[in-house]
Order: sequence, then C-alpha cells, then structure tokens
Amino acid sequence: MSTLDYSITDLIPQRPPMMMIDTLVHADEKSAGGKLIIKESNIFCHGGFLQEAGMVEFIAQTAAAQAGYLQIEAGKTISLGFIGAVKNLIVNSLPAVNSEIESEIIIDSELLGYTIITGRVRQEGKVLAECEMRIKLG
Amino acid sequence: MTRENIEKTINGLLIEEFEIEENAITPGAHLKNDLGLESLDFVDIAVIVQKEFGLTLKGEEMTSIRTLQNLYDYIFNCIQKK
Repeated sequence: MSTLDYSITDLIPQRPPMMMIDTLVHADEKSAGGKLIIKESNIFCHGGFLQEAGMVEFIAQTAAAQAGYLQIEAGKTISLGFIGAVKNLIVNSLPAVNSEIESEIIIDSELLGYTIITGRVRQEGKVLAECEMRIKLG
Repeated sequence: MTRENIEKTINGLLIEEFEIEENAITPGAHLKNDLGLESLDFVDIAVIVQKEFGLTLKGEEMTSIRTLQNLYDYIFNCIQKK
C-alpha cells in the first residue's frame, strides 16, 4: 500500500495537540517526506509563525511516520521513537500560519542503536530549517 | 591515513564538538571518567568516524574502547584491514 493509503494516526503515536504532520507523502527505507498545514491553533505557533520547535517536531514526526509505515508494511507492531539529540540546527526563516510546509528526511546511517537522519523543512522550494537527529527506536 | 592523522582528527572532534580542554586530551585519558563523555556522545563519535574514516562502529566493539588510545588503535586497525 502507498503511504497515502494510511491515516497519519495509523503511522505515529502522537495525537493532537502534539501531531505535527498531516500527511506522509512518500517513504522508503532511506527517505521520506511529509506535509503540514500550519493552523493558528498549533501549539508551536507564536506571533503568527510556526516556531523552531515546531519545525524540529515536524522533522521528527516525519521520521516516526516513515518508521511506522515501514513497520506496518512489514507486518510488525509500531514501536515508539525518541529524539536522542538534535545537532547542527539551522533555521533560515519561520513559516506563517495558514501556509503549508514540506519535510524531507534522509536516513544517513544506523549506529550504536540510533538512527541518524538529516531533516529539512521547505516551503515553495526554499529551505526553512535543517538539522541532524539521533533517534532511538524503542 | 596515518596514525597521526587519526589522532589529529579525533582530538579536533573532542575539542570542537565536546568542548574538551586540549590539555585533558592524552592517549591514556578514559573517555567517560576523564573526558566526561556519555552514551549519546559515543553516537556522535561514531557519526564522525563514519564520515571521516568510512568506518561503521559496532556497539559490541565499542564496549572494549575505554581510553583515547583504544579509540585511536581501533580506528587505525580497522583502516589497515580495509
């Protein structure tokens, strides 16, 4: 099945108000992408803009959704994931309320029980934020 | 890749990434007890080692690495085997 055949709540354990991804657009073993429309009620919004923490969470939940999708497709139970560390975070600008942003994650490697990813948030092709993450699957 | 290059790369990582004082970096320094590295720091070291040297550190092998000298030797030996 395609990622679009699943509701995002099938793929991640987070629930409102902590859900920070609307749709997993694509996913494979090495990468994934998601979409999020920023609502005014989003808990990471302030002053009309999604803040850094919201974009980091968007990246993390894209990775969680990718892992969830691959686990479901493999007939496994979805496991919880935890952010071990966020490294080299660069924030170029903040997206406005009522706009849509896209995420891209790339699995760099799996080391010492952690999944190392590079994540980016884009809007209309422009990179708004990027970082590396170390994620531990429970 | 010479042993000197390995030591220089690792020492630079410790100074820049972990803000460890240069004078604390000696071959006999214990990674946890003397340099204060924690479990997630070892993941960072593994990432750098993979990027810089193309080596994938494995958890079971890391357990035998206790000092900086152990780390230098491990990387040097892995490169020699490649």
